[in-house]
Parts: sequence; structure tokens; C-alpha cells
Amino acid sequence: MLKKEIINVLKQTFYFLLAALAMPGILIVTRIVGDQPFFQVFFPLFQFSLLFYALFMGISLFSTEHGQRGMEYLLSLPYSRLRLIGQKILPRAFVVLALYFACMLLYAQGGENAAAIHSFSFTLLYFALFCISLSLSASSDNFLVLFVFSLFSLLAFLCLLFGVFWATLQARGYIFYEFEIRPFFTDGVDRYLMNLIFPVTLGILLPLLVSLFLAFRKFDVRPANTYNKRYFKIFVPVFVLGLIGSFVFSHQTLEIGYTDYFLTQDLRVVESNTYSGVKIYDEKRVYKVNIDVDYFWPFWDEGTFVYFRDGKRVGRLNTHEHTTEILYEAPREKWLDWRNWGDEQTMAFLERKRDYSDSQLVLLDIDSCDVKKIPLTGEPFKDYSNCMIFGADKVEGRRFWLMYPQGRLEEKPIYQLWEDGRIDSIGASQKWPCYINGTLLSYAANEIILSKHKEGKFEVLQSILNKEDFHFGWYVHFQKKLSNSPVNEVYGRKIYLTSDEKNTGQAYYTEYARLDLDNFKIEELDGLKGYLNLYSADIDSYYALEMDDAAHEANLYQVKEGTLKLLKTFKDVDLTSGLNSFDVSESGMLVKKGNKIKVYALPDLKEVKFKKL
Amino acid sequence: MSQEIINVKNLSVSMGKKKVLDNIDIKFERGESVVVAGRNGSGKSTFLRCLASVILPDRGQIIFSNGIAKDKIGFISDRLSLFEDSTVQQGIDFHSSVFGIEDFDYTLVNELKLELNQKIKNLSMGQRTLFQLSLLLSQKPEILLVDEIIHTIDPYLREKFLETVIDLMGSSQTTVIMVNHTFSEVEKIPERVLVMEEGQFILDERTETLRGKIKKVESFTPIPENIPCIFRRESEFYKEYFIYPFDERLKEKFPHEYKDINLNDMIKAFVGGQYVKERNH
Repeated sequence: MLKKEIINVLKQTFYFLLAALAMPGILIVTRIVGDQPFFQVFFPLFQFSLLFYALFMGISLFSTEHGQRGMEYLLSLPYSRLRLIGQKILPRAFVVLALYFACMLLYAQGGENAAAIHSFSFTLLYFALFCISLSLSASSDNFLVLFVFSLFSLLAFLCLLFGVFWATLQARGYIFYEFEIRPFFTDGVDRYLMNLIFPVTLGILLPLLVSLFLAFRKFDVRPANTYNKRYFKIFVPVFVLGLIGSFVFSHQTLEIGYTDYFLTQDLRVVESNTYSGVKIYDEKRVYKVNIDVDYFWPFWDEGTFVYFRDGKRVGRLNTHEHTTEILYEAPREKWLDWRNWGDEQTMAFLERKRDYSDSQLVLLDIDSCDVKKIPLTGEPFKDYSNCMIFGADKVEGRRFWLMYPQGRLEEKPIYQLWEDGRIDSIGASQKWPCYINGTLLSYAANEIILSKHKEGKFEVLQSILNKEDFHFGWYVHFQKKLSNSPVNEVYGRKIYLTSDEKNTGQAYYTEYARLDLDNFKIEELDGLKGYLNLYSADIDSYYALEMDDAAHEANLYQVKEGTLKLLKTFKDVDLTSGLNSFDVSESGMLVKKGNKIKVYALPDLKEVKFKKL
Repeated sequence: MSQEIINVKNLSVSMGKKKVLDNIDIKFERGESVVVAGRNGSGKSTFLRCLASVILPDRGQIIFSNGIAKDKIGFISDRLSLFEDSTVQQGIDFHSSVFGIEDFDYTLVNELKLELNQKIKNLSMGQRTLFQLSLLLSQKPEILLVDEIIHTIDPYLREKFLETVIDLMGSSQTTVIMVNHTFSEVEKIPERVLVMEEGQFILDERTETLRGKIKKVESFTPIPENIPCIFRRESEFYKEYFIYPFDERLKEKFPHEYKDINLNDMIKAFVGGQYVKERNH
């Protein structure tokens, strides 16, 4: 029986391949397609032919028996129904797979440029057509009916597939995500939907195959209606289950864009995503906020306000009234640098053209929304126009901002920009400098240079040996209030590449050190394993997250005066997966594990429950 | 001692809304020859197809005695179902490979002078019937199911077919269940007669018992009402009554000549009786 089926299928496939090769030949010889190379004509036609052949392989499952009046003979053979259908499907599935691999091989060997359908979409349509037609094969003895019905079913399948995606996007609130069907055929599947497409397809197609196998167990020569009734009795619940499963799965796993979370001081969570917009969660409810920005980057919160920005705008979100206002918008052709610096009532950021020309320091008063701009057109910025702010301070009532050029490599100058537009060059640094507690830390070879303001200018206080090449204060991005209690320590790290313990390859290692700002001594922190992340949550305290990748554990420490106090251990987390993240803010800790978000309030890290989060 | 070979329990099959087989309970014995008769659409062919697993029951079950596998059941459908595009030789090869037949017996094929490279679809009805029988015989069936086919073939091949079946019954204790409409040729074959009506067996008798229980009365006057008559044909000059069940005591009630009848007439009486009953109803 199997042998007969194999011979039949191979014979049919041989004729199909002959036709598939002859067709483009005829088109070229008759010059219908002009002077195109054979492969350019052959491959797109081959793709379409294969789709129809997959359809044919499915619907022809019993066509021989129907055509030759052999159905009763077939069913009277000493095989169970499942074995019978298995022996019929096996050679077809093998041929369908073999042709698929052949097609993909041709696709890789130059077919990409000639293809009519993208390889991913082709794969989906090809196997969907085979499964659909296979599933319907016993439903009618009329070949034409099966052919038409299979094509309609494919259409229904695509509608359902896109429907599940659309419903998921709506349910997950990705309302700004533009889901287009046309590129699906030409460019393949969007990278966000790529992970979903196989399970969702399976959820829709599997019920078809399950129904076929279950209904066929009682297949006989009665009119097709009897079989179809049984088929649909099985199909409907299994299909509904598959569809619900597909939806639930995609709802649980769909992640479009990067979803960011910001924990406010009064323990509200602000969620932002390019495609779903901004939401505010309190313990009981969730509020959707309409904000007209390219992306939402919250960087500071004060009272009921969360300050945010994108490439052109700075604004604030009222987390209690769920309203927003744009405080500043850059003029046309100008963009804001990613780093901004706030102190007291003033937010400072640089704006410039895309080519780094026409730079200006923008000073925004966050209460009155008054803006003052200081152009950076002076001589020092000629060579280093791509500066960023790393500190601000006030001396004898006069304010200044510290700037350092972006990029790596050589030693670069540090600039002090005064409010009246004066620019002083105050030294150079080989690493990103740090200004903390009125002390400027800059780097020379194996040295840290500590400077303080004295009589209107910076003076070097001390140079300390930094043989281990630690980099201190890289995490200090934003200074909230100069009046906060002074910080007497700053932490540093060094990352280096070395062979791992088993010498099987190389790995990055990180070591940490503490710089005492009272006596300027460097003290190494020992006994840490894994990756230590420092959060300058509060100007007066640090938190460190130690990740033990091997144990899938994360320990949160409070770091003070070189000692680590373990606050909490988080089990079963994997920061390397990209799905998990930890963030410590002044009010607490936000833990993201896949789609689940948990919030722990400082100081005791008690979990805060959010009903809708 | 008789040995049960098939036990049919509560068998029901529907086609659409119509119940074609309705809760049938029946048993068959090894080596038994059974003829199933009935009106068109009474469920005979469906019943046979159920025994051949070509139709699967909606309810109930068919239990074959130990050792009877599906490959020991031979079924000749009234549709003479085979893979028509195959040649005779390909048909033989396929059947042999599926049923594990190592030495196919070409006797019948040779007797019919079938060309091995001839396509099955080009065979005559009679040739196909005999060819299919030769395929079934080669699998040495313990149960042979024949669905009203013999009346469609010519007298020579019909005789050949019946001879082969009788030989088979004699040599290997094969149970033969035939669905038929005409019984003149098969008069001597059946040991048991079944009559189906509306998906149920309304008669199940040994042939010899039935011969004693059904009689024909030819008369010029009507028979009394209390004489059990299953079928009557009445004209002004001639009247014919089929009495069932016949009892010797009936002769006292209605003294007349009670004639023996052949199987063909017996079946005709039962089948005709059903038509009359339906008409009166």
C-alpha cells in the first residue's frame, strides 16, 4: 500500500517538475517575458506552482480511489483507518518537504532576487495550503469543490492569522503599531510578530489536522455529509480552543517595541511603549495618557510630575491628574542631545542640528517655562561640537555647566560654560569625567585628578594613583538638588576581558572600587560575583544589584561606605535573557520578569500590589 | 457443533436523517451460507458493508470470533470496487502485497482468459466479478460477503461464480453471506434466509424450516380471514395465497391443497407482502 502510494506520488511529482521546468522555457522561447534569464522566469513561477502543488498533494489524498471507484476496495483492506490515512499522507508529506527544501535551496542560491513571495511568507502559505487541503481531502469526492474550498480556507486562515494579531495588538494597547498585510507577502513577517507566527499558525492549523485524524477514524463510504458532520463536530470545539489558545499565547508573549517602566516617588508606575503609548498605574487602576511625542523617556520626577523628553521635546506628566504639558520644543531642524542636567528649578540640555552645528545650551525654568539659550559658537567648540553636560553648580551666585565631548579614544577637553556665555577650558580627561559634591574627577594615564572650585576657577586638589584604571561615577546622570546632603563617596568599576576559569574562551570580568571623597583613597570591593549594577537612586545612598547568572539569582544590596548590606534575593531571574530587568529608584525597586512587573517599596522592599499591572 | 463466527450487537447506521440499520442483533455461524433478501433500500447492502468494515456503525458493534482478522473477510461489492486504472497484474500484485499472499492462484484468471496487462476498467462486468472473486479466494477468506452481483453477469459466468463459491464452502468452511434478489440460481446454496425491512430483520429462518412453514394456496375463492397470509395475488379467475406460518391444523380450518414453493417464490412472498402492507398502511 505504502509502496503504491510512493510510486503514485513520485510519478505525479515527476510530471509536476517537468511542467514547472517547461513552463518558463515556453515563456522564454515565445519571448512573452522578453530577454530574461531562465532562472528569473523560472523561480517565481516555481514558487507559485509549488503552492498549487502543495494544495494538490492535499486534496488528491483520495482522488485516485474516487476517480477509479476504488473507495470500497480501499476501505475493505486489512488496515485501520489511521494506518490507511497515515500511509497515504506519509509520501505526500515527504515530497512536500523535499520540494520545500529544494525551493529554499534555490532561494539561497540567488532566488531571493527573483522570488515572487518572501521566503517566510512562502513557507507559511505552502504548509498552510498543504495542511488545509489535507484536512479537507475526505470531505468531498469532487476535486473541484475541494480545490475551491481549500483556497477559500486559506483565505480564512490568513484572515484569522491577521485577526489574532490585530486582536492581540488591540488588547495589549499597541494602538500606534501599524500592521500592514501587503509587506507580509513581499518582505516577510515583521520582527515583532516573528516569534508569534509559528505558534499562532499551529493553533489555527493543528485543529484541522486533529479533526481529520479523529474524524477519519470513522470514515466510510457513506455520503460525505455523514463524515462532514462528524468532522465539524470535532473541528468546531478544537478550532475554538486553538483560536483561544493562539490569542492567549500571543497576548502573553507579544512585546512590540521596548516597554519601559518608571517608578515615581509616590509609588506609581509609568509605563511607556512606542506603540502603546503611556499608561499610569496606581494600586487600583490604570490610566491611559495621550502624549504627542516620538518616544517617551522619563528622567526625573518631582511631586506629582514626571519629567520626560524625546528627541525634540521636554515635557511633564501629572501622574495624579493624568495630564501632560510640553515645556519646551526644539525649533525645526534642531534636536536635543540625550543627556540633560537639572539643578533646582533649571533643566539644562543641549540642542543642535543633526551635523552637530549651531549648538546651544538651553536653560529651561520648569516652573515658568522661561527659556534662555546660550550659543556654543566660541572657539573651544570648533573641534568638539558634540559635547554633553555632566555637571552644574553655582559659585558666588553665578551658575555654570560642565561639558565633555562625546566619543572615545584620545584625551578630550573639559569645558565650563558660564551663564553669561563665557567658556573656560578647565583641563582634559581620558575618560568620562564626573562632578560630584563640588569635586571634579578627571582622568589621566593611571591617575585621577581631583579639582575643586576656588576663587572663580577650578584648581587641582590632588592626583591619586589609579593603577587599576577604575572609572568612578559613570552612573551619575542627573543632579537633582544641590542642597541635598553631601556625598562623601563615589563608586567605580573596571571591565576587562580575560580567559575564563576553564580556558574555554574569553569572558568579561568586572571589578569594583570605592573612592572616599573625604580622604581621596581608593578601596577595592572584594567578594562580589557576577555583575554589579550601581544605581544612584538617592544622592546619599547607592544600591547594587549582583546578578549570579549561573544560579539565576539576583541580590539587591544597599551600598554604603564600602559595605554591602543584602536587602533581598530574587530567585529564578535571568538578566541575560533580555526579558528581565531591575531598576532601583528613590522610592523602591521595579522588577520586570517577562511580562510581569513587580514593585518593592524601599526601605524594607515590601511588595506593592498593582491590580492592573 | 456450530461455532459462532460473527456476533452483531445493537447495530445502527444512519444515512442523513434516515436510519438504515436499526438496532440489529444477529449471529452467524462458521461455514453457514446465508442469503439476505429484502426490498430496495431495506438496508441489505449497508448491513453487508458494515460486516466488511466499509461502513462503520454509528452504534453497536460487530464482534468476529477469535482468529478472524480483517484479511480473512472477502467482500465483493455491487459496485465491483477496485483500482480501475491498474492492470490485472498490478491488481493482483497489489492485493497480494497487502494481504501477504505469496502464491496467487491464477486458475480462475486463466480460465477467464484475462490478459494480465489489460486494465481492470476494460474488463466486462462478469470478468470483473470473477477477477475480484479470484483476488478474494487467494486470501483464503473465512467470511465471504457478496452483494447482489450475480444477476448482472451472464449465465456462464454466473454458474462459474456459484460453482467457485460452493467449492469454497465445501473445502474451507467459509461463511458466505449473499445479498440477492433472484434465487433461481442459488436455490441450493442458502442454509438460512434473512429478510430485511426498514433496517431490521423481519425473517430469520433455516431454509428447510422455512420450506415447511410457507405454503401456497391456489384457489378460485378467497381464503378465510383467519388464515395467516403474507401475500396474495387475486384476479377474477385466479387467486394465489402465500400462507405463513403454515400449520397442519390450518387444513382443518380451510381444507385445500397447500403447495410447497421454491426459494424464489418464498422471498417474493415476503418482499411482496411488505409492499402490500405499506400500501394498506
